[in-house]
Amino acid sequence: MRKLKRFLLIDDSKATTFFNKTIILKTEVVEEIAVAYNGKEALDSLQSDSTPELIFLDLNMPVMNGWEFLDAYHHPSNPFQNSKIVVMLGAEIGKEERERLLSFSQVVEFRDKMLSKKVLEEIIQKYFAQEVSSKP
Amino acid sequence: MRIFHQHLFNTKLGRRYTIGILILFLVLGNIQRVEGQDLGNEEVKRAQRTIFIYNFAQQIGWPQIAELETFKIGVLGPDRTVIDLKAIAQKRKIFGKPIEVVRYQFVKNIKDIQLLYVHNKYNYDIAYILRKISKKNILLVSEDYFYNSSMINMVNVGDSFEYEINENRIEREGFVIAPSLKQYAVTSSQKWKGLFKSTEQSLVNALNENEEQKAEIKSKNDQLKQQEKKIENQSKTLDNIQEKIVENNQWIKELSNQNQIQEKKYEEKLLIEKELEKNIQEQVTFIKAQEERIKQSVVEIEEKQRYLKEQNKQIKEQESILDRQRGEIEDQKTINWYLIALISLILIGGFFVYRSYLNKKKLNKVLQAKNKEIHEQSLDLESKNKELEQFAYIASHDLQEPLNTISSFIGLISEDYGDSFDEVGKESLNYISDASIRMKKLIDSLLEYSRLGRSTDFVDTGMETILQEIKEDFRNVLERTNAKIHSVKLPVVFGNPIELRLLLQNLISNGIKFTDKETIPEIHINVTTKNVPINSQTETFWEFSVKDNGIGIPKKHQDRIFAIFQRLHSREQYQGTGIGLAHCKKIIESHGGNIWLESEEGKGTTFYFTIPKKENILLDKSGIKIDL
Repeated sequence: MRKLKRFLLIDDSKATTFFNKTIILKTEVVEEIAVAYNGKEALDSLQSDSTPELIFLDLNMPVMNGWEFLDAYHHPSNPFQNSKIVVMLGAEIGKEERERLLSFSQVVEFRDKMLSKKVLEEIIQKYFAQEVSSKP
Repeated sequence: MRIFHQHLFNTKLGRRYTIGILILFLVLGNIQRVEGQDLGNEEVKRAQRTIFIYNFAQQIGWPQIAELETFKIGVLGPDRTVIDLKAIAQKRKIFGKPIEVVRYQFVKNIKDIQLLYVHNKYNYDIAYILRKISKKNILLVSEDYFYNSSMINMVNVGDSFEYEINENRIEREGFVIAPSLKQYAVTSSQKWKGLFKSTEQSLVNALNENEEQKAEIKSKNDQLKQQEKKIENQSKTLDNIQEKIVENNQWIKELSNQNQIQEKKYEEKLLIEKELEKNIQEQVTFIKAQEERIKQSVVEIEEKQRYLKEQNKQIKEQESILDRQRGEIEDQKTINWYLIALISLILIGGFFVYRSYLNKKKLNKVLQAKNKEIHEQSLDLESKNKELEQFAYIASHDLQEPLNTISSFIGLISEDYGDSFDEVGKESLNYISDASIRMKKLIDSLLEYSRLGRSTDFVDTGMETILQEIKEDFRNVLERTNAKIHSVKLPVVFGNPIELRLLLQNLISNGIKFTDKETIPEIHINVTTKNVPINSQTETFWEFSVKDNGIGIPKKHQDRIFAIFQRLHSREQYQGTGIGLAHCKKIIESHGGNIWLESEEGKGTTFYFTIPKKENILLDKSGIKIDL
C-alpha cells in the first residue's frame, strides 16, 4: 500500500489532536501529520509547507475559528485550494450550518471529533482509493 | 480701464500656463517612475492572475465534469498568460482533472474547452465572443472589459485583482456558482469604474488634447482683445454726435418760447366774448326749468295723498293680524315650559348614566392593571423557564465533548495496553468505561428532557396507532417476559405525536420493568372522559390509566417519583437513568393535562394522566393555553 504525503489536523484541544494523531499513525496511511491549534496557524502552515491531501478541521477555536478559516481558505487569492476538508464536530449542528459548510466545495465530510480507525479507513477508501492502491 | 484689466488677466494666464506646464512635466516624470515599479511587480501580477483564473474554475459547478478527461483552458490572442497557465497546469488539477492550455488566434476556432481567458488589450469584441461560445459550456473569464459585459471580468488593482460576475449569464450556461465566489465579487458598476485604471496611452492623449485646447483659448482671447478695441473707438464717435444734438435742441427751445407769448394774448380776448354770450343763454334756460318744476310738484302732491290713504287701510289690516298672533304666542309659551321640563329630566337621567359609566371605567382600569400584572408575571415565569431549559441544554451539550474525549482515550488504552494491565488495572478500566457510557446516557436524556415541550405543533394524534407501534417495537421484550398488554380502543387526541408516544412508551416499559422475577407482567390501559370544573366553567378531559401488576411504590416515595434523576432502586436491581417519569410529567404539562398515580406495595401501580379534549383548547401564538 502506498502512503499519502501529508495530513493537517486543526483543533485547539491538545488532547483531541494527540488522540487523532495516534489513530492516524496506527493506520499508516500518510507520511507526515501536521498540527495547527487554530485557523491562523493552519493558514501559515499552508503558506510555508507542502499542500496536505486531507485537512481535519475543528469549528470552535480561539484566534481564528473554523468558519473564518474556511472563508480565508476560499478567497480567490489563496493558491492552495486543493485539499479535501473533513469538518470535525464536537456536538450536533443545525441544518442551516450544515448546508453552509457544504457550500464550500472542498468540505467533503462531517465526522465526530474523535477519529476512529474505522472512520479514517472509510474516508481514505472514499476519496483516495486510487492513490493508496498497491499498484505502482 | 477694461483694456488694462484684460492685460492683467493675460499676464496672469501666462504665468498659470508656465506653472501648468511645469506640473505636467512632474506628472509625466512620475508616471514613468510608476511604470518602472509596475514592471518590477509584473511577476507577482502574472502569478496572481493565473491563481485567480484557476480558482474561478474551482468555484464553479461544471455540468458533466465527470465525463471529461482533461480540463481545457483557452487563451485568446498573443497573450503571455498562456505561458503562466501552462507553468502551473503541470502542478495542479481542477476537480481532479489534468489541465491543458490552448492558444487561439480567432474566435471562430474555439471549441471543446471549458474556460476561455481574454484580455481587452487584444481588442476582441466581447459580444461576438459571447455569441460564439454560447451553449458550449464554456466559462468566459475576461480582463479589463466594461462592467457586466462578460461572465467573470477581472481588473488589476495593485498587486492583486478584483472581479465582478454576471450571475445570469453564467447560470444561463448551466454553471453553478459557489457562494464564496459571489461573496468577494464587486457588485456595482460605480465601484468597477473606480477600479478601472486608465492606461498610459489615454493619459498622454488627454494631455495632448489639453494642450490643443489651451492654444485655442489663447487665440480666442486675442480676437476678443481686438474686438474690444474696435468697440472703444465706435463709442467715442457716438459721444461726439450726441454732443451736437444737445446744442441743436437748446436753440429750438428758445425760438418756440417767443412765439407762445403772442398767441396767448389773442386767445384771452376771444374767451371774454364767449363768456358773455353763455351767461345770457343760461338765464333763459333757468327760467324755463323753474316753470317745468312747478308743474311736476303739483302732480307729486296728488300722488302722495293717494298713497297715504292706502297706508291707513293697511295699518288697520295689520292690527287685526297682530291680535290673532298674540293669541298664538300665548299657546307657544305654555308648550315651551313643558319642553324645558322634559329636557331637564333627560339631562338628569344622562348625568346618572355618565356617572355609573365613569365608575365602571375606573373599575375596568383596575382590572386591566391587574391583568397586565398577571400577564407580566406569566411572561417572567415563561422566560425564566426558558432560561432554565436553555441552561440544561447548553450544560449537557458542552458536557458531551470532554466526555467523548475521555471515552475515546479509554478505548485507545484498553486496545493498546489492556493486555499488559493486571487484574485490578483491567477491572478499574472496565469501571471507568462503564461510568463514562452511563454518563453519556444521562447527558443524552438530559438533552432530550430540555428539548421536550418546546414544540407547539399539535395535531390530531391517534393513540391507538401509537399503542400498536409501541407493541411492535417491544415485541422482543414481550416475548421474552411473556408480558401481556390489554387495552380498550384508544381515542384520537390533540397533541404532539412524538411526545405522546414517548409518554405511553415510558409508562408501559416501567410497568414491564418493575416486576418481581416470578411475576408475568400484565398491563391494562383504559380511557374515560371526565368533566373538571375550572373557575365557573367545566372543561372536558380524556383520562387515561395505565395499570400494572408490578412491585408498587411506597407511599412516602410517591411524591418525588416524578423528579428528574430520581431512583428508588439500585442500578444493579433495575436499570435506567431515572428520567423517564420526569419526561412524562413534562410532556403532560406541556399538553395542559395532569399526571398522578395510585399504588399499593407488592400489588401494582396505576398511572393516570389527562389531556384536554380539542374543543376546549385554543392556543395563542406563544403556545400558552387559554381556558375558555
